[in-house]
Amino acid sequence: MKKNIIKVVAFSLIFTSVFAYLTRVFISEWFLDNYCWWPTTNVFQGLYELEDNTVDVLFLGSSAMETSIIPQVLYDDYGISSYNLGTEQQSLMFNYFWLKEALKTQKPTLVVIDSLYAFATDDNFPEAFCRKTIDGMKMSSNKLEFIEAVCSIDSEQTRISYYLPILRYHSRWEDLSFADSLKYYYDHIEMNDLNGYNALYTCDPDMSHDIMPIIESDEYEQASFGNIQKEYLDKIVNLCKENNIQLLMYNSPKSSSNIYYYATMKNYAKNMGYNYLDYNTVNVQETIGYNYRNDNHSDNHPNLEGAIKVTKYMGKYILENYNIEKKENSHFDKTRYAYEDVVLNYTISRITDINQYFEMICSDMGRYTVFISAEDDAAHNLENETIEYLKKFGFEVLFKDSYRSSYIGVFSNGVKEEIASYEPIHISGKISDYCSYDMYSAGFECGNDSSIIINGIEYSKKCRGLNIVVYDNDTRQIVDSVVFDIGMDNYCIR
Amino acid sequence: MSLFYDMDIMSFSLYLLIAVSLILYYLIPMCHRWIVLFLMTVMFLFSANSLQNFIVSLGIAVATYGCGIIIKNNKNNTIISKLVMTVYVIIIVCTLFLYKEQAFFVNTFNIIATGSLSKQIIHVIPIVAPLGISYYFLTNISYICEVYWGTIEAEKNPLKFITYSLFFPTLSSGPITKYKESASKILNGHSFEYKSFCYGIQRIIWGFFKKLVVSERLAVIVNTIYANYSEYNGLYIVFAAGCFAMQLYTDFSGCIDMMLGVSELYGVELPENFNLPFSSLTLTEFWRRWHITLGGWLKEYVLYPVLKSPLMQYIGNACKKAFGKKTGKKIQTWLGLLVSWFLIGFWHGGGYNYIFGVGIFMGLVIIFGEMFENVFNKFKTFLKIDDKCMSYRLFQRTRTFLIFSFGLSFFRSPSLTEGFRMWKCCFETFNPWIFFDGSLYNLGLSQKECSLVIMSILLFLVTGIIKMITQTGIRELISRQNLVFRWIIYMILIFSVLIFGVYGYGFDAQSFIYQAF
Repeated sequence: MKKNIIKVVAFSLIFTSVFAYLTRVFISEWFLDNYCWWPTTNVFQGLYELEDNTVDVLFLGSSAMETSIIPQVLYDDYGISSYNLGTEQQSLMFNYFWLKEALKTQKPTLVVIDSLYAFATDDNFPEAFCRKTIDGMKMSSNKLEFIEAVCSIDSEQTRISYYLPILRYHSRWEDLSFADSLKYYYDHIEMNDLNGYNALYTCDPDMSHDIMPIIESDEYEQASFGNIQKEYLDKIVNLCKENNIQLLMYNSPKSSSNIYYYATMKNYAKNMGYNYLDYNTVNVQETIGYNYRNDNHSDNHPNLEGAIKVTKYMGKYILENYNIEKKENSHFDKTRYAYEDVVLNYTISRITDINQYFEMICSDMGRYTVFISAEDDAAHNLENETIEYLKKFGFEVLFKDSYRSSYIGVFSNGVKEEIASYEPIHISGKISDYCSYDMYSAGFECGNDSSIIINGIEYSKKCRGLNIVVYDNDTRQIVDSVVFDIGMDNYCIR
Repeated sequence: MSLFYDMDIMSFSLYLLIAVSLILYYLIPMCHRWIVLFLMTVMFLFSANSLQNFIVSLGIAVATYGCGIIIKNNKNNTIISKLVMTVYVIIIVCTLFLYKEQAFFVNTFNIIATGSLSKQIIHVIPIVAPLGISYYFLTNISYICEVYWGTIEAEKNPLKFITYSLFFPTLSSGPITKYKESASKILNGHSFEYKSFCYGIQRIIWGFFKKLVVSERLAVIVNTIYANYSEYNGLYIVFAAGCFAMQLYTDFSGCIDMMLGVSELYGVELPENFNLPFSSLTLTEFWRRWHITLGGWLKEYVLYPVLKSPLMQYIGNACKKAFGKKTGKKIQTWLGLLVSWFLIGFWHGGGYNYIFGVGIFMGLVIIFGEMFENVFNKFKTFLKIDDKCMSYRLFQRTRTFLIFSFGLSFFRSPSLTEGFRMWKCCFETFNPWIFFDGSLYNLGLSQKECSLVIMSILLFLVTGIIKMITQTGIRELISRQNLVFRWIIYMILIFSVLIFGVYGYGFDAQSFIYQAF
């Protein structure tokens, strides 16, 4: 009997170890490699790593929140210590559980919640975002409650698959590579040094019309809250009241905003004794000078320029309306570099002059990988200044009698690879574990095409001239995708 | 959260409940251990059925128990006991017809009345049958017959009878049990045996492997071809029929493995339902190895009584006079076989596709085989065919598999006419290249998944060969190996199910096919 007990215990231990290892291997790629676009895990990880009781203002919400408020700007310009806990499609129900989790280590004076999901219907809980929001939470009674709440709404989801994630992610076996088998031994999850902010660079290409701002009024008809969202909005209000926390209801600039939602949220906030700050009103939009064509990345998401405008107004508003004092917080001194990085990236992504463009990239050459693919012709009218910049990268083939030739150039970490021909050219390779590329170029006479595929996504603008993609090796983001026609038209297209 | 939430035989909650019940089972005194099984049976029955069907299931068990007692108390009064038995069997069969076989009567009536199956004067009344009704009805009929024949004593304790009659591992897909063989095993407590317990766990995992790794994937291929057989014609149809035979085997035997494994955890050994059916050389042998307990039940409670019935005796005598003693007896047996095969098809459901595909067709093939056995033997002698060599046996096994797959293809068809229509499409084109040009990868499974299925089927082949050679089976063989090797095998099996199984969010695992009967 004793021998059998030892055997059972030993088998169980080995089984548990293998199970834990495989769980790590199979867990979704986004969970660990979460630094770049639309981060979730490292936003939550960032909260856990903060020193206790250092957050005065906590922002909660969906992507509309995570892309509109920059805690670093709030600190640098207004001395406010804050954290942006917004993540993709984090509705009010999810906000409630994350607020509860945050209150275990932080005592914010003010909580700001985004109202985007207040009117979402009860079936608006996509499983993928439930996963992204729940998987990042440490095991606790909050997490158990969270899982229970989600599974009681969506009967297709099972509780056990949250406790044992391999039951959810096992079907990835077909996609696994050898690198995945090593995931257990290192930790991809990096601190979110933007304090939860998610920087977006480009402008909305579809924003061809002006968005009419809302004229403030108490006369508008009311909309209906989503039942579940309303339930959790009430719970957030109660939780804040229990913990003596001020609550600000907030609506970021959104091209989809409407007067009914505005009226309903305003009324709700008033009834609860809280403020409602809507950036879609005439008053706020005129004050901050928000311009959808320049400041918006997509429907509900400001780009960096828009986010700076939103954040600065928010800082002023908070200092004027809430009892929050400016104070020193060394954490923001450590994270300032990350914000400066995204500002530089953003600046690069807005330059339309090719020489200025290369100059800016050359200012931090080690940081960027530059992919160049020529379409039609990219050599004939190259200016000497441009040639000088290209030489700095080590490129030399393009400007040697290569009119209308195919051309591909890659520069990364001081190493260049370039090739030109009057036949179509194709190359592929890897910059790092996180970045692989597949490029194609065909000059005018041999196909007239360009392709720059990074990690499976096509980024080339596929226009005449130098199609360029700039990749940030540090943040693992595509900084810019642009084409400079150095021929007669001399245009720049993004 | 309800304790009974989502408690089907693959649910985590069921196995959690089983784990708790096992602790209780082995803690309480031996003589009371059946009470744990009774409680598990009632809870499982309650969770798997609507309240109405739960009451119906219990009501039938109580009625069977009552009839058994009446028959026992009137042993000397043959009229009463015969009357009770007859009325009981008629009522129980009618109830089964109401729940499961309506389609046969409705379709037959419509055909007679209108001359066409497509015109429907009356319709099938949709009634959800209690889980496992087809299995425990046969178990109960067997019990009453045995009590009537005096071969067993009627059970005195109604709760014990309910435990035996509705024993929860048998509710999903059988096996159909006989009181004299299984009641004592279920109702007498068992002491904990480490080996038996480990075997039980292994068998459950093996069942999960069959169902989740293989059956669910084969279902994708089968569903794709059946849904569009006019496009996937020619040899696709043969491929689909073969895949469905494997799908059904892995599905049905997987479910039986799980439930027999669960029984083993309690120390209860239930009868086997499969014994390497695809190793059969003939269709007769196949059906002795496939759904063994149903075949055994029909032989004992239908075929023999039918053959002994005055009508069949009369027909037999008439045939003997007309065709001679030997042939006359054979004709009598064949008629009995046809009745049995009709009932096997009928038991699967009232549809003509079942009656033909897994009933009459199988019966006719077996009868024709016997009828022309001498001709075949002469043919083999004339051509000097060695029927003992491996290649001939392989031919026999392939032939049996193909015949079985053909019949079974009607089982999978929505109707008999659809089944024939599908086989018509098979002969419209000749496309053997589909097996070589990668066309099979376009049936819903990726190349990796296809490889996985092929490897799994090869694994079944290896385990089958090991069983044929050793007569004890793979578990016994593995248990004799060194600990490290054993554990590696167990780990590989467990993690294969966890990783390669088709389950979880986004996968709608199909319920067990035989659970519907």
